Amino acid sequence: MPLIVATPSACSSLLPDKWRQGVAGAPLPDGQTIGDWIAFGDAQTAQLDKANDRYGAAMGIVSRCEARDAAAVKKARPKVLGLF
Amino acid sequence: MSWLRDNAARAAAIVALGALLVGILLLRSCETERTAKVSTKLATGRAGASLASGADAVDTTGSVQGNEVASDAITRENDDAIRNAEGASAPIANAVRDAGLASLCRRAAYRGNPKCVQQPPAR
Repeated sequence: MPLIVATPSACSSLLPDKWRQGVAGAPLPDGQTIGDWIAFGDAQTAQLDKANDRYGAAMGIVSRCEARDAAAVKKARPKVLGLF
Repeated sequence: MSWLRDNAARAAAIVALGALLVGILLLRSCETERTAKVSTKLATGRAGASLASGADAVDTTGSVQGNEVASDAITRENDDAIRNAEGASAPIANAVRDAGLASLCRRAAYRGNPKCVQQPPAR
C-alpha cells in the first residue's frame, strides 16, 4: 500500500505580517488632567481588545487550516478493500 | 519422449520462473499506478484545502480589521465623553503624573518611545 508522506502545510504563513509586530500601546498621555489619564486608560483597553482579537483570530485561522489539511491527507489515504 | 521426460523438470522450472517474473512486473505496475492515483488525490485534496484556508484567512483578517475600525470609533466617542465629564479638567499632581509615566515606560509596549527615553529612571 502506498505510504503517504505529506509535509505539513505552512498555515502560519496565512497570517498578516503586520500581526507579527503586535499591537502598539495607546499614545502616552500628554496632559496633566484626570480626563487625560482616564481617557488613556480607555484607549489602552481598546489596544488590549485588539490584541486579544488578533490572537483569537490567528489561532482560528491556523487551527482550521491544519484541520483542513489533515482531512485532505486522511481522505487520500488508500483503503483496504475500499473499507479500512 | 525420453527427451521430454528428461527435461520436464527443467521446463517446469522455466515456466514457473517466467510466471513469477510476469507476476512481479504486473504487481509493480499496479503499485506504481496506485501510488500515482494516491499522489494525485492527495495533491488535489491539499490544493483545495489551501484555497479554502486562504479564503478563510482573508475573511477572518477582514473581520478583525472591521472590529479595529469600530473599536477606534468607540475610543473617540469615549474620549469625548470622558473629557466632557465634570471633573475631567481637574489637574493631577506632577509627582503622580511623573510616577505614572515612569511606570508605563517600564513596559515593553513603550520601549524606545521618545517620551520614555526622556524620562528619568524609576526609583
